[in-house]
Amino acid sequence: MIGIIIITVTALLLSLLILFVADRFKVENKSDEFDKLLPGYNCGVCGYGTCKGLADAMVDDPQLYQKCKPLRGDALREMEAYLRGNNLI
Amino acid sequence: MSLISIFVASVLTENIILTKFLGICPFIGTSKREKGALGMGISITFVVFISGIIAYLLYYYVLVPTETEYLRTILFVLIIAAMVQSIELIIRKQFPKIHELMGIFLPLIAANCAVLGITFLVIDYQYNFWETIVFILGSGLGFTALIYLYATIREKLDQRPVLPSFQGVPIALIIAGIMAMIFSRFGL
Repeated sequence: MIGIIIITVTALLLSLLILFVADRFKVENKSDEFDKLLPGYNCGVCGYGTCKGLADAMVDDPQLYQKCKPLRGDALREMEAYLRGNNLI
Repeated sequence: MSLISIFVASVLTENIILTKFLGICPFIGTSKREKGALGMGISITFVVFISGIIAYLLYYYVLVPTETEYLRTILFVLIIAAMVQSIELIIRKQFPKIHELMGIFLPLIAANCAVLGITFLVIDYQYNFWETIVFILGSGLGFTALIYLYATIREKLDQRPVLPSFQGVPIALIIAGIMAMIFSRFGL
């Protein structure tokens, strides 16, 4: 009985530790954020095949958002506001 | 035994790789490049330092008083796995280059027998707390020094003509054997 309690308590403490570290050292993935702001038509006009491809390329060069033709109006303003907010353009 | 003799013994004469044959997998796997070898050695030292101290305290202050020493294997494995996971998350965030360089071998520290072996040896040798810290640091340092030394030899070896049947791991294992023979002479 005492063995079960020791294992359970130790496992609980260690899992809380991992949870804390995972939260503290989270790797923010810019590509996913860009993908959300892109139209999601996968039209291929930008030359990357899919919106996900353009989003991955934008991690290295944010200016590439201009290649997206369907990105217009409010969506475009939203993307530019996001990029400006993160000091990317 | 004095602290200095424990330290020297754990670095040289009782080197964890060459005399106890623990941790051979990362020793062969990550020693192709100097940088990766150094990163591996430092992260193993760090993991074994933290998990060794936690394992020591848990063993003597929880398991011995409650007479549940039989739990030590599963508990130590649990501690090491949690520490490796935490350190992998930290390295992925802070040092992406090292994370890329070490690849699969970083999570594999969890299954590294050197780490588990050191935590067990501390209990088996019946060290006190300060001797434990010195032994753990010495073993980690011995591992780092040896894997770095080995990586420098292997980098030089890449530029030498080697018989086709010996290229790669076979010649590396032969060198490890020669190094083990040299290190075993320190103890005499």
